[in-house]
Amino acid sequence: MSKTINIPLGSQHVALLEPVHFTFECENEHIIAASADVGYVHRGVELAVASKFRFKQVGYVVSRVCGLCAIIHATCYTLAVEEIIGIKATRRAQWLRIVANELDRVHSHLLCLAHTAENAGFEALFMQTMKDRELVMEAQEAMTGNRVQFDYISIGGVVKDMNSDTMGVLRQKLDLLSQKMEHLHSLFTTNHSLSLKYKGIGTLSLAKAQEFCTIGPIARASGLGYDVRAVSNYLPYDEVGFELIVENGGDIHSRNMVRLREIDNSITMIRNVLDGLPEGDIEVKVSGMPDGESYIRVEAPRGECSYYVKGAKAQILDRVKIKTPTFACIPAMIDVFVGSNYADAAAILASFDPCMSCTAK
Amino acid sequence: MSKNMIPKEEIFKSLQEFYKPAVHHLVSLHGVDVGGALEVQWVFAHYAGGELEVFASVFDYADTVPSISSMLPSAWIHEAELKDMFGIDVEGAKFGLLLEKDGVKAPLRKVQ
Repeated sequence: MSKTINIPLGSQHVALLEPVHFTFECENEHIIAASADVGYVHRGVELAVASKFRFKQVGYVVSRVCGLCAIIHATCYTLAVEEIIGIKATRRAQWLRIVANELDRVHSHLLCLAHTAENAGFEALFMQTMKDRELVMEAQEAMTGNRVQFDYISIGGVVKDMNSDTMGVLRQKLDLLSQKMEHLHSLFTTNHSLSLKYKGIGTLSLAKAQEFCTIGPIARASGLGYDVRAVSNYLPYDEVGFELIVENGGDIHSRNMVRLREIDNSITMIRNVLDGLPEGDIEVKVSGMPDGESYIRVEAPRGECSYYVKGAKAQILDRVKIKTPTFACIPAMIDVFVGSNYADAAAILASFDPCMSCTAK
Repeated sequence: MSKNMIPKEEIFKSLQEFYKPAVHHLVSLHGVDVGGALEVQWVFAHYAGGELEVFASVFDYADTVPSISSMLPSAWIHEAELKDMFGIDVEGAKFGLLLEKDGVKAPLRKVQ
């Protein structure tokens, strides 16, 4: 039997963007056991929102759980409160929420693909993808007023309407991005560093994906066709051209393909919204206090994000539970590490697209 | 959201009878302080869609919550978070997933 050694990865490491620490027990180059420490950026958000903020302010607080998917957190919380209060956003507001959510998904997926390229040693593509991602951030700025940390979703609707000028900006940015996407598809499909090298690496089988309750692009890359947008009509995705994207390889390459195809589908959905945006108000009047419980799921870029909200006719909520997708995928990530080569650990980690800010909240 | 309140002595058996890996997935496992006691909720979704299935039991702070990691391997991370946030003992769970050993204890408990 070979001697085993423990190799740490993180919390600060050249291949890591996020503060997470892994300990790999290795036998030669093979990882035979792994453990994770994920709590570096715990900020006590669940305590804060159920003790210091009124329920109408909480949406702005939970937007700060994650800089990347701020819109997703606000959407999920808002839907949960709207369900308890018994109000529903107007159709125009719902369609605008779809645009904001899908722009969030596109720039998050592009960030992940950029870092996948970086981990493959493809620095030029990393920089090119980050430049292309600017198009999405400019579209978000035109729509919400901010490049990141947008406070766009409010209880009862959205805070800003979209006029024809903004639609024109979005269409222009999406047209440019579509052209860039063709190049990205080509590279991730045919370039050795990005395709052949990652086929069969970091594989999560369908059975394991189910066993570990894996969600999001990780699950869909393993053949598990589960997407909250398909099973829970929290926004009218069935009216704007949503397509369930599934790959079967379960490896890093399949995860890249899922994200690339999801970007294309998100662009299609946003265009459909812009073409058919219903007329009407962007918000409904909010009256009453939250009294009861609700549980809402939405599809974040990394998978199912859920909020449990409990109120008792008071300004301060009794409980807000936030379950984020990376948190749910940590056990599967650890399982995938075991049996892999240590040299692939950083690439596997990047392919899970972890968000530790969401995980530790 | 339909919630099935189950006596704490029967919750493990109920979950064991209910859960099918190819049919359901665990959405969340979390606590809700109900003033001196803890309501633990196990929330499941069907892959095919439909309503969430919520199982809940009320535990005293001094109780031990049964672990479902034996039938659902990814549950350990939810159970560790439950232990950190509410200071309740969860079978097999270690303290320290999100909190430091010399830091605050049971921050989400309403009765300290």
